[in-house]
Amino acid sequence: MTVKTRITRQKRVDWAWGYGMILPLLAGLGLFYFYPVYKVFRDSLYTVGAFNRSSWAGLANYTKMFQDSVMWRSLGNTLMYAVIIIPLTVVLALILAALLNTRIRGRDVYRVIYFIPTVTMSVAIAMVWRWIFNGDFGILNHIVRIFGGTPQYWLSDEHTVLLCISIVSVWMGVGYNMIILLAGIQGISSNYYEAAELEGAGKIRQFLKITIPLVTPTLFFVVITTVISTLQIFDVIYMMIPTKSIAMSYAQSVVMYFYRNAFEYSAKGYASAIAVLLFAIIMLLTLFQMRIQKKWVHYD
Amino acid sequence: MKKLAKLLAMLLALSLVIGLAGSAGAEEIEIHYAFWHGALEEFYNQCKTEFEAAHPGVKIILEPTSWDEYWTKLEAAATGGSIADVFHMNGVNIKKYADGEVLMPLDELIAKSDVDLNNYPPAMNAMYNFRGVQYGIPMDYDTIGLWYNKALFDKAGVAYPTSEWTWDDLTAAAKAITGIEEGVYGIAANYEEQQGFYNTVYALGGYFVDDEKFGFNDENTRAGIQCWVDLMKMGVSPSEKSLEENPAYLQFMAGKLGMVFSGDWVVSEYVSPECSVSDVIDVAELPLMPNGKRASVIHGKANCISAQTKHPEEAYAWVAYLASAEANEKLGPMGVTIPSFLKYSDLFFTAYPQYNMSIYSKAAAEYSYVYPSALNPEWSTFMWEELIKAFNLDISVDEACSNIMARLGQ
Repeated sequence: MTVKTRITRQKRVDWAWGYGMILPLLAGLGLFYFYPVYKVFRDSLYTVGAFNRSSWAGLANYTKMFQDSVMWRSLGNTLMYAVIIIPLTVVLALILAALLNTRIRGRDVYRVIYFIPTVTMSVAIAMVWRWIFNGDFGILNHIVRIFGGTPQYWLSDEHTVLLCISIVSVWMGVGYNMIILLAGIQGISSNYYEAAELEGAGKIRQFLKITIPLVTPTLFFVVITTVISTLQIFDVIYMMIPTKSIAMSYAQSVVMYFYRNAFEYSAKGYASAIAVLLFAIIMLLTLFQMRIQKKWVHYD
Repeated sequence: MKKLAKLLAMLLALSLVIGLAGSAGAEEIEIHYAFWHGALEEFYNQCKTEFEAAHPGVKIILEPTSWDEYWTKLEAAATGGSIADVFHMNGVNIKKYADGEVLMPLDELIAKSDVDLNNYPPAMNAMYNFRGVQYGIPMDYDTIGLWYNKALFDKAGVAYPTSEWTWDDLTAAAKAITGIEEGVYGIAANYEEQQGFYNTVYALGGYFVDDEKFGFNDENTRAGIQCWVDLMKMGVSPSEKSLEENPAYLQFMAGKLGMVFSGDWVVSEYVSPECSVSDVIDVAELPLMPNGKRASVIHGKANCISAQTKHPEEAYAWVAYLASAEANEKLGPMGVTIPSFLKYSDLFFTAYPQYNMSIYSKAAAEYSYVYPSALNPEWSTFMWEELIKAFNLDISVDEACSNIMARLGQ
């Protein structure tokens, strides 16, 4: 009996300490994460104008959304970004990680070079790429002219703007994913490769039959995070395309449209509804990926 | 995790200490003043010193914010009830803030004080008058002028612009200058609002917003936009895309443009070392339109008082001081912005004696039109999204204007 109470008391003290320790973090999360999430769901059911004056709107924001052609175009653009950026980023990151895991000369230098875009300020990156793509003075057009092509206003043209943004995004995202995959590859036991060598398997066969299957848990993580971040693409567009650009409607993503509604048109209720839709899409996609992972992810 | 907890605890303790220290010495009245123009800080520091000497017991707290954050911060502060007592306002936002009951009506306070609104440009007073109530006192203004590159004019054998110049003269000069050197164009005729078609639309008698009704079906409005698109069609301007990626003032500074419409604030760029043509450029009045009229759109900041302030009299005293002859006389020669007090406007121009800058104050006094704004700012998005296609020569001006009206539901 006495023993029992002592344990409970001890446990209580432990719990108190435990909760006390995570309290600052929980307070921060609650204030800056859970509350805003609640607020977005709530605001999506209200008309929220300037100075947060709000009135009940029911599902009006959602019905407006389904009739809003700009919204659908932004969603279409976002899916295009996803189709281009996700496979490119993942495949390039995987190939680079495999190459930089071999014993090549200057391996560390390459690793640093590929990781640099991740630690560089995105504003600086956007500035440089804007100059590369510049229609009058850009390096890209200079090269195009040398090869006898027609120069373009890459960032103002409806046909090229989305591709340009995608290229910059891939360039920015590859380094980070490469490092994660590199860590995954290094966790693969060398026994497998030694066995494969003995059996006479070549490097490419080793990569396809050993590296890829065994790195799938890491790959799964990379795919999930890339899908989420690509569907939330915003900063590159915001920094590379001037607000009043003829190409804006061809480059605008859902988050960009959300931002403009919330902060340019003071339509925070409608903006919240857009955020909720994007949240639902991302959640469904992630759940779907969780489901099908059994088919391709190997945990040993 | 432990480190984070420690850090948070320390921050919490620190904020408590600061809070206590702050409340201890709060005997004098504090007037918080929020503004965005970084270059004005020096001027406000001087004003603060003089004002505090003349008003013992009142302390001015300057709260400068960068332009990018200013409106987000101001709106959040107004919503949360912590807005500064006095703050900068602009023409785009005045209706929203006045309608939101964030601003204090000033009519009675003005009547009781030495401030005389006749000292400021009428269009500027009108900009800060919402439904018959005055909410702000103008502090500076901007108008538009026609800048030209004398070297390119000489080379093309065209006479420089004068005050009698018409839109036809401008078109002829633009044609003559285009192609005189490789990559040189006569004028920038891209989508520009205050430094572009706003001026020609008003000169021709058109309008954008009138009591929440929009004017894009008005034939004069359309004509004021069409004249620019015609220049685009003639090929006397770099394309819309080119000017989007490399703004007009930069192309002018590089000697690639014969003419450009520029606001007075751009002059600081034109005298900077980055400008390769500083010595061969000058500014003239905007051209007369075919109806014999000209217009220059005016815009400028005003000082407004929060409806929530606990010290309306002291706040107004500060606003009145900033509107006074004394303060404006100090502001002018600094060359930062044109003082709204008309008598002292010209002092700004003494900072740039090499250019014919007085056209800017002449425009303000004689033919300035209020910068258009509506309660819902969304209209301007519809405007640029549609009109920019007309400037890119994808659709006609008429089609673009009809699209705007359709999207506005009018």
